[in-house]
Amino acid sequence: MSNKTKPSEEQLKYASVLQTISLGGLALLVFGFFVYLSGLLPTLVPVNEIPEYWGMRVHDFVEKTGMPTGWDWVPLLNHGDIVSFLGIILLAAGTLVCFAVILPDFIRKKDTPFAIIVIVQILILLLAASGFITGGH
Amino acid sequence: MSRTLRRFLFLLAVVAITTGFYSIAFGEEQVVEAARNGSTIVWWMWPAILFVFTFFLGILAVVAGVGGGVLFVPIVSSFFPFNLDFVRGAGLLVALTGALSAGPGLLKRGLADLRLALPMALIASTCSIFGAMVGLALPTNVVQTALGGTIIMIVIIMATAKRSDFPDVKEADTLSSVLRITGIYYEESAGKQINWQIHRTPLGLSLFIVIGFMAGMFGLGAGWANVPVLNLLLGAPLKISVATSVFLLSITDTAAAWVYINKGAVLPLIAVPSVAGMMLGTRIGVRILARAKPKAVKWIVVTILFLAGFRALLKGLGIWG
Repeated sequence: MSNKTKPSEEQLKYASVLQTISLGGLALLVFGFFVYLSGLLPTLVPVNEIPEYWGMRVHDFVEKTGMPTGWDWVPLLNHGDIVSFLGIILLAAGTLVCFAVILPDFIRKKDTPFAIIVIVQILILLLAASGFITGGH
Repeated sequence: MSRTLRRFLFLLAVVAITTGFYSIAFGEEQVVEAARNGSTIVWWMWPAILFVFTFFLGILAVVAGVGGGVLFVPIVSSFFPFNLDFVRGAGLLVALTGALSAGPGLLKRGLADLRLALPMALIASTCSIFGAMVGLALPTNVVQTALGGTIIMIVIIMATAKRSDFPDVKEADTLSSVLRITGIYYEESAGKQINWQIHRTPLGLSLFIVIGFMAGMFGLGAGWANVPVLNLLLGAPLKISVATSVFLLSITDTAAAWVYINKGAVLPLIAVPSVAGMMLGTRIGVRILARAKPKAVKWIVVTILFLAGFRALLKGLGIWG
């Protein structure tokens, strides 16, 4: 790859961080699911009872099962169904971490438009992840 | 190292899912319970079937050159007993993990372009959040009907949209010049470096409002819309458009996925077998691709997608539910 076609420093950095987090997320997803199905940890809702609820709308499901929403799952990490959730959280958080990693590069290069884009993007993702905005009833 | 690790993960996924289901499927008790409930299928069979089903869907998606997410939601919501809320949550995760797996490699090879993706991603991800909120607030039959209509529209786009390997962009527009959205990549088939730039950036950005909203609302990947906009409208070369579209998905779907996660609409029992099946199928699909006839497969997929869209439409309207 010649210098002209070589991706920018921040692009390569983004790719490396994303790769690490994606692999970690997938590993955690598989591990958590195994813990969930194997019954190694107690569950908030027994796995064989989930089919009674999976045909319901999500707000009915939450109301009937008492499953946590937003970040309320954090204190319940000793439950199998919550552990199976961790990989999903890591996968969803990966992009946010990547943006945080490349932001200093844009600032250092005085690339103001992209520094602003990245800052706004981080804020948008933080807002989405915060749980303050949800849809539904 | 990463390839070996990925292979190990896939193997682990298969083992975890099969042993997991075995451990909960003690056999007789479950069958008796199913019979008592008047059901002919034991409950744990659904996630197991979903795993096998998404495995084949992953193969089809690669061979036909279609995103897995766009196939997943209409088909699974039509033929599986899961509520559309959970199917959309799983669909987003399927599209997201696919994009996260492919994204780093495409960025490192310079095919996906960070500067091209970021402005589009900002608009699309913001709107995908609103799409997800609206999708979770509307009655299921309304979303199902809109999904059916959207899928039929996607089928028409897939069947008719042309693609241009190297669109002729005579002059970059002001906005893309200010943002320095331009690049050079090595085109192996031509054996030379290709310089590219884009035009009509404001119009392209405004289309990502709609694309992002729909991605969030229906839990679909948005490659079907990203690629025509990047390639035909903005004038990015086809390879750059396809690769940047995949990377874009990883940002757009992340934003929407958080809304579904926080709302409780991502059920691991549905999402994990789907992700594992799809990723495994995609791997196999890449190997089959060399021997397959992509055009024939593409038409099969387009037909399946049309039928699934039509079924979703009828289900939403209460005609065939």
